[in-house]
Amino acid sequence: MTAGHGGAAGDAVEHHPRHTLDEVIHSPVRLSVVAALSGVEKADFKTLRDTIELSDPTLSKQLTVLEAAGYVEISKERSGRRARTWVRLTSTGRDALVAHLDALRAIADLRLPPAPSPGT
Amino acid sequence: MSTDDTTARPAPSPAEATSALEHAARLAASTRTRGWRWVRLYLSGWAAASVGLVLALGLGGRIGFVVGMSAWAAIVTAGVTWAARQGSMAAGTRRRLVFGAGSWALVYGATLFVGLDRFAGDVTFWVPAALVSAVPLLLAAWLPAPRDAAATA
Repeated sequence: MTAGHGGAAGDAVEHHPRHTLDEVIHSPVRLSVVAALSGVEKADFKTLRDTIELSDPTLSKQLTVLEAAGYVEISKERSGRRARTWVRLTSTGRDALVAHLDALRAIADLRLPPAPSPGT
Repeated sequence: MSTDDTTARPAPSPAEATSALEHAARLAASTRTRGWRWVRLYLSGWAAASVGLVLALGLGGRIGFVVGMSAWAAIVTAGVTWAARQGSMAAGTRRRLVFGAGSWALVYGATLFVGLDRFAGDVTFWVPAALVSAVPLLLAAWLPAPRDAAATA
């Protein structure tokens, strides 16, 4: 963290929007998972896998991380002889996504300061 | 999880942030569309089957009853099985299905109650009645979803 840095430079560091990026969903794959889940109440493992174009083990690993962070809920349902895994974005996960996307928007809006004019 | 690349990753550039935002919005829209598509198809199919069923019951006599109810049973079984296999559920889907099924049952019940007694075989009653029986399901299917608070919007 940058707490303790004084002065304008310290403030600039402190207020850079990258500090509000969510560390869990800073990973592009995990951002894809929570973004895909944000469009629905719940989705099953296969739908998520096909939408995000991931392998089963990769998606499974990322879901474990997201579940540990409290961002998704995972439940299993029997459908006939098959068990289906459903994934749902929690309110914590949704809040984290909103905050992360706000930070990305702020970064996207960043512009370099205009170049100093000659002679100044 | 001793090593996690997320903490070491540098902040994205403005262009990368824009690209990530667009990608997130695309994924959210994709699952939302997929979640709604099957609900719309399911309710529209149910509406079409309802038109056929009401016409068969009202105009087909005893044979129409047997054929209509048999076809209905097969269609309902296939529809429910198909719906249960869908892999995503848009917000509000349950509410929409309950509204469609409940209002359809009311219209269907009232139609049979009035029509079978007084208008058996009367085309001028059963054709409009069959079309009316589809209206609740089509409304449930096609009324626009309330503006959902999509995080990626």
